Amino acid sequence: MSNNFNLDQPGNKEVFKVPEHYFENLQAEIQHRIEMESAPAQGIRLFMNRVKPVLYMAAVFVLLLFSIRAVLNLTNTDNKQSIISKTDGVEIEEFQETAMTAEEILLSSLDEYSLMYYYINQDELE
Amino acid sequence: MDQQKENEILVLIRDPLTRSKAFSLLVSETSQSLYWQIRKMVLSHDDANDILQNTYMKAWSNIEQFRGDSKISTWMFRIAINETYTFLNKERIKNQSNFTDMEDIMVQNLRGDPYFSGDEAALKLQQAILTLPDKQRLVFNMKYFDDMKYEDMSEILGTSVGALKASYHYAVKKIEAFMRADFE
Repeated sequence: MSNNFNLDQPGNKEVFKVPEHYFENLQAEIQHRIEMESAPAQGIRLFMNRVKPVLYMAAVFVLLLFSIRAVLNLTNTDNKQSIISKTDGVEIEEFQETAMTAEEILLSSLDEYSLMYYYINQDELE
Repeated sequence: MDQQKENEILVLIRDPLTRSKAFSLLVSETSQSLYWQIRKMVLSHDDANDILQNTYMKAWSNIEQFRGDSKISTWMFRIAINETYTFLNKERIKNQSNFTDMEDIMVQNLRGDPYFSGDEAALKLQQAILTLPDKQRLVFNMKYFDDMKYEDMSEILGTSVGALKASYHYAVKKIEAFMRADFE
């Protein structure tokens, strides 16, 4: 090794080499990698494109189902059977589809006097 | 890359239909300069190739976010430098567990590298350059090997021209001192 090292001496700068045709092949290699990485995303996109009409149709059916149900519920409420029975001049409305018992409905419809009468003469009424 | 090419690529990149073509053009225009910057930092061809490919993959996945605030070649340089730093840091961590210096391993690998044609003096110079901190090493490489303008370096590295000149000056002093110490 020479004793008078000079940073500017020629020969220091061109010491690295690359494999033959490296830069020519690099372009194709990068392009290939990009295509490979884009492939799953493209696959998902293609799958979604195919599934989309089915999903839309399913959504329409679900919507339709809910609409029918809502309409039916509305009709049921309108058609709740009001069975009017008269007990000693008191009108009692009985609901078919409620959680309330018949006794509760009766009690809520009666005034205090009728209530007293109901309890006293319970046996007779039955 | 000249301004006309930059503009051409920029126009093509904005259109999704021509983006792929623009990217191919970008690769062909920048691959050599990026490769040599990376190579001089990591020394091994295989590592440089991996980092370069990762650089382009990262650029491709973020290409839509490129706003054109800086030159696209500058943007590419920054990604390449970040990827290189990440690689070097990972290697340092990996070698820490083996109680070995990454720089020593890099020099050792150069001795048997078929893509390194330097003599003992060139090897010694690489060893001296490896004593510099990463950023100073990058500044030294850009100036010494590529004779890059300080203004261009400043744009890529985000450091003032004055600071870059000082950094290069100190790098040269350190390298010369390392080489002199070895001769004595």
